[in-house]
Amino acid sequence: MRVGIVGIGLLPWKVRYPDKTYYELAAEAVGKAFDDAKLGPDAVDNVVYGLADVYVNAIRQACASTILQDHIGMEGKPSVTVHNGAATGALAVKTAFTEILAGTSEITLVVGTGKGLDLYDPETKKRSSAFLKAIMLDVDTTWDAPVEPSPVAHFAFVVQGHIDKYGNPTEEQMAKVSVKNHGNALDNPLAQSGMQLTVEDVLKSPHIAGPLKFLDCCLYSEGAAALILAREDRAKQISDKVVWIDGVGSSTKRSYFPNYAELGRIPCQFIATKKAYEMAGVGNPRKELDVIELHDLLTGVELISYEELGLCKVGEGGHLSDEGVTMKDGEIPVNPSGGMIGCGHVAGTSGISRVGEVALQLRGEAGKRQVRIKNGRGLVSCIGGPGISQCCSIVLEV
Amino acid sequence: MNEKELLEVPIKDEYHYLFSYGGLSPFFKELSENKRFMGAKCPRCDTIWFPPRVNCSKCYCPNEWVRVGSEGEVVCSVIVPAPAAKFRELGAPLFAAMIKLDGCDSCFKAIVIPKGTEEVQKGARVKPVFKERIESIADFYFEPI
Repeated sequence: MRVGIVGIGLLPWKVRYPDKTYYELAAEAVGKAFDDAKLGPDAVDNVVYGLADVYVNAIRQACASTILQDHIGMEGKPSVTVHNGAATGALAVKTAFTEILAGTSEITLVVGTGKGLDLYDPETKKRSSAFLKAIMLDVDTTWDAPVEPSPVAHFAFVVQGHIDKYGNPTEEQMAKVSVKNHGNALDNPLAQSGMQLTVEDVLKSPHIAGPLKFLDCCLYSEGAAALILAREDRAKQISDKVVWIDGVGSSTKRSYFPNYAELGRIPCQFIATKKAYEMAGVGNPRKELDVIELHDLLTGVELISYEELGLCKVGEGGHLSDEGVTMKDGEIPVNPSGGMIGCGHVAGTSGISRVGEVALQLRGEAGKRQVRIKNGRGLVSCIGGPGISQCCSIVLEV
Repeated sequence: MNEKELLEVPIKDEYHYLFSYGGLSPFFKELSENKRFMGAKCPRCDTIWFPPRVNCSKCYCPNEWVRVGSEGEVVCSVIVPAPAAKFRELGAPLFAAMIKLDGCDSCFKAIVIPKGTEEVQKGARVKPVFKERIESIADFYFEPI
C-alpha cells in the first residue's frame, strides 16, 4: 500500500500577518489544500499538527490543537501534535504517513502554522530580539541556553567544526549559496526575501558569528501550510496527479554536544536520509533525484547537508557550491524555491511547506521556479532542534 | 482588512520558577562552595560524563562523582561580535566555545573571553573565572591560559 499527497495549501511567507490570527492563518492554508484536492472537511479522518513550542509560536496558548481543531471544522475527529524544532513539519508529514499505513486513517490532514513575531521587546522596540530570546529556550536550559550569546553561534559550531576538519566551506562558497537561494526566491511568489545579490554583498553584510554573515542566515517569518495525504486507493480516486511518499526516515542526535567526535557533521541527517533512501530504493541520489528542498538554516549548513544527503563525499560539500551543481539549472537543483534563506522560516510550518514545494515541482506546477523533471523523484530533508539534532527526510515520487 | 481597522494590544506574560537541580545538586554545590568541577564516572564503562548526569546513558547504571580538571581545551570556537544583551557586561567580541575539561570524555558549551585582541582558536588551553555565587553555568566563563 502506498500513501500519496492529494492536496497542497501553501501561504506566502511574510515577516508579519498583522491582519490574521494564528487560527485564521491555519484555516486559510487548510482551505487552499481542500480546494486543491477538491475535497471538504467531511472527507478527512484525522489531523496531524506541526506546531513549534509555545514560546516560539508566540500564541500565548498551550494545547493549541484543540482550538485549531474547532477553527478548521474537525471537532470530534482524532488529532495529534508533533513538535521537534525546525524539523517539526516534516515529522508531522511522516506521522500522517504512518497513521495511514497503520490503518487508523484513510485521509489525513497535516497543518502547520506560526505567529512567532507576535513577540515584542518593549525595551528595544523590536520583535526580532524578543523572538531570538524565546528561540534560545529550544536548547538545553541547564547546560546550553545560559551561555548562548547568539542563536547563530549555536549552529555555527557545526560549520566551524567542518572548516576545522576539512578546510571548507570557505566564506565565498557559503556566500554563493546565499546568492543562489535569494536569487531563486525572486521566481517564487510565496517567498519573503527574494534578492539579486553578489558574493561581495554577502561578504560585506554584518558579521553575526564565526564565519557567518547576516546574509548567510535565514530569517524568521509567519505563515501556514497544509497537506492532504490519502491511502493509495483513495488517492487515485481523488486525484490524477498524486505525489507518492516513497520513503521516510528520521533521527534525533545532537551534532556536537556532549559527544564532539562528529563535530562538523550532521549525523541525524545522515541517519534519517539513509533510512529514507533505503525505504524508497534510492541508490545514487545525485543521479536519481530531480529536485531537493532542504533546511538551509545557514548557508554553511546547506553545504554540509550536501554531504549528508550523499550528493558528494564527506568533506567536499563546499566544492559543489563552486561547481554550480545545485543551481536551479544544475545537475541536482537544491532549494529552487529559495529555501529558508530566500523564502523565510516558521518552525512548525517549514517542513510541511517544503514537502508541498517538492510535490508542486513533481507535478510540474512550480511556475517560474520549475526545474526539469526527468526521473520523477525528489527529496525533502528538514533539520532543526538544539545542536541541529532533529532530522526527517522524505522521498517523493510522481 | 486595512491596517487602521486592526486592534493591536500589548500583553506581558511573566513566569517565575523555583526549580531543583535534583541529582545534579552536588555538582552545583561543589562549584558554588569550592569552585571545583565534578564529573560523573560510570563504574562499568569508565566514561566520565561532563556535563555530569546521575546515570550512565550507555550502561544505565548509577554514576560516581569524580573530580575533573579545572582547566581544559577548546574543541571548537566561534567569535560573536555582538552578543545578546545579557552578555554585554563581559564585553565584545566574545567567543562561544565547546570545551573539553581535562580528564573528561565529552564537551560542553562555555563563553571564552580573550585577554586582549587575540582570537580564541581550536586547541587553546583555558581556565575558568568564577563569580562569587554560582547558581548556573552562566556564573563562570573561561579565559586563555
